[in-house]
Amino acid sequence: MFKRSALMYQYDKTFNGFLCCIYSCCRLHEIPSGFCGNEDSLFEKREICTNHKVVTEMRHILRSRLGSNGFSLLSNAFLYGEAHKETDLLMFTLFALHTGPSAVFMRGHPLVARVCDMERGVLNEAHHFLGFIRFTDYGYALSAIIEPKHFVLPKIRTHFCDRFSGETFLIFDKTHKAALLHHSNILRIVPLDAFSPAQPDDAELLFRSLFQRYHTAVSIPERKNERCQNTNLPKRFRGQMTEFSFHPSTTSLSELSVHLLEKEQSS
Amino acid sequence: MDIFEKLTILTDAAKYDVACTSSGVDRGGAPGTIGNAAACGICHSFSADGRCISLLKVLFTNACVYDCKYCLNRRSNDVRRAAFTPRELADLTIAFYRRNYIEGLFLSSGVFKNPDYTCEQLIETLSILRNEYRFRGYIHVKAIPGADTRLIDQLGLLADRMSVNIELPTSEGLQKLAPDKTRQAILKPMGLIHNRIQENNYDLVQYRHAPKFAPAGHSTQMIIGATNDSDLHILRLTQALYHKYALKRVFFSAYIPMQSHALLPSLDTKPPLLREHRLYQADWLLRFYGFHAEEILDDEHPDFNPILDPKCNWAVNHLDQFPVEVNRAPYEILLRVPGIGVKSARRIITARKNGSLDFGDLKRIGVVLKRAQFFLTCRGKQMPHLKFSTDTIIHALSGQSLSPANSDTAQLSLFSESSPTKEDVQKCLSGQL
Ligand code: SF4
Repeated sequence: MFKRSALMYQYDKTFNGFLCCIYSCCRLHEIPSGFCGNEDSLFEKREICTNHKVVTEMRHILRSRLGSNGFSLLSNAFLYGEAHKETDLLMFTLFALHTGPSAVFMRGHPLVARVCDMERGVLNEAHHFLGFIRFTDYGYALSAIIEPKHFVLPKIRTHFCDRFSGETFLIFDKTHKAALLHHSNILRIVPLDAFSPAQPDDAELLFRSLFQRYHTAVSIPERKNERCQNTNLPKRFRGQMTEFSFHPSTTSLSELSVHLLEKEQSS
Repeated sequence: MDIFEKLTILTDAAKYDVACTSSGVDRGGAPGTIGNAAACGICHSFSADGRCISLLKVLFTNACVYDCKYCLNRRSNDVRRAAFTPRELADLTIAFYRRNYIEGLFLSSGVFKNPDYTCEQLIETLSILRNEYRFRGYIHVKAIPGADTRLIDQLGLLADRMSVNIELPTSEGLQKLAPDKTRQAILKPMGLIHNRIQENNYDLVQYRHAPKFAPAGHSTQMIIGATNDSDLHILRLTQALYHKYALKRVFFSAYIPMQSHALLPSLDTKPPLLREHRLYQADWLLRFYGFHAEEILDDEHPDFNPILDPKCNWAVNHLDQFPVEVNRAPYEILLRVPGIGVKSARRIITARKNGSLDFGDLKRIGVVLKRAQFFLTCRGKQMPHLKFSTDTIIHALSGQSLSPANSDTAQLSLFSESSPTKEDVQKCLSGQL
């Protein structure tokens, strides 16, 4: 029997750290009153350290008890961007440890349904970002900024590394203060507090405005439908999207393009 | 002419093409190349009309030697003409692609000089992309009817998807409005592409590295509402095209009047968006739900019901086949229940393996019951407190009442901006069904 504890679990907010929390719950037969990172709080806390040995063991146990589907469900749902997600994930894990691999398919069960919803939220947002990310091209490297609800970087890295295998690029997640870095086969997700991109060059400005022009021209005025646009592309994504947020400066753009053409011809 | 103007003119001329999907081929990246393609397709943006922007959709040129009445690019029309050079267009595509603006290129063209010359220009553009930039992203190209077989063949080896627009649902319509084109001339390249895809499948079985011909298949598009054809006729044609040419998609495009001509609908005609939407719904039923055109419409009812979508309409006319038991009904039957789509049906099949389901379970696994509740039982019981009559069903399915007092206004209002259900409108107008 698990008993409710008045303690909060304090951990490093990583998935591995969370696995150690689950381990501790099972060992002490307790359900903590909540989870927190290293922020200050008035509650009494139990500090859970991320221990490599425990992590390996927990991964092994969870993979075999939850099945590979169950394990990936858990790790995907962990990326959900909500402050109190851990308790739901913990309850689901305890339920699944008890039930075995079939737990994942019991979608009528409230715990399973909740975790599946969380996973769906994460995967949907990650899929949106495959298309909605906008890179700035500096010639030698690409950079992008995103402001997602969920921690989607681990879910989009394979796609972009595969797509731009020869490029050096950085995707900065402003919400979670982390960045995905890629440089000739080296790939990392690292904590990063702030990132201020360099000034875009002329070519970059040209292509931004060309795309903006394209975006306007491709729409059919007779079919204008703002509601549909808003449903498919919610406003929260637009802050970092060239076609909505780029404001060309006062220098005339055709001047710019003529200038670039001349430069190209002379070289 | 600077690149801004070119892009504006050639995008403007291409925007009525509806096929903007980037789906159908899964191709990973490779060292020394740029790009990949995802089978599910990726939307990169949405334009003000709510449609997905996935590809850079442009014409190579809007100059054309033909004179199709419904087309803005026709020879006799006085518009500004522009043309890209192959290099310009390839560079632009790559610049957009690297910034993740697009998933690839959708290239179509007016007929410049003659079909062969036009085709050669398209080939050159795609060759620069594929061979010079080593671009592995998505390319959709329009085959130019009348071009040499050898050229169509080359084009298909460079593209992921090819399409030939069938333009109008009947050959009489074609004769009237597009005097330079014949049904035969359109079907010929379509047949050719179909055969090449078939041969290629055979080649690929034998030699794994045989070059791929249009691996994402081919599609077509027709204009709805420029001629007087019944919905049944269009649907039958669609079905026949799927069968005969194994098309991946048939797209419909509501006719938007842009020029006055005695043979065309008058300029104040509203584009038949609801009709287009119903066609997409019916097309979906043909492709994924195991329906036949003749089940959806028949000679007595050759046009769609404006109030009910085709699936609900079928169900309301076949109430004797309902309700079905959630815990026993086979997959194909679940699919026929209004409100249950492919995803929900699959979820039900998976979930019921672990015990029988009730209405609460259905909600939790994400089945929307608003429509489905009338057609289902769980463990032999109907949804509690369900009011069951044809009128309540139609009310729930369409979001409107059939009472004579407002049926006229209800029908009329369908053609204004706000149509039956929110979801319908959204999908209709985005052409995403
Ligand atoms: S051939 Fe195509 S571009 Fe030319 S007029 Fe006809 S529809 Fe327009």
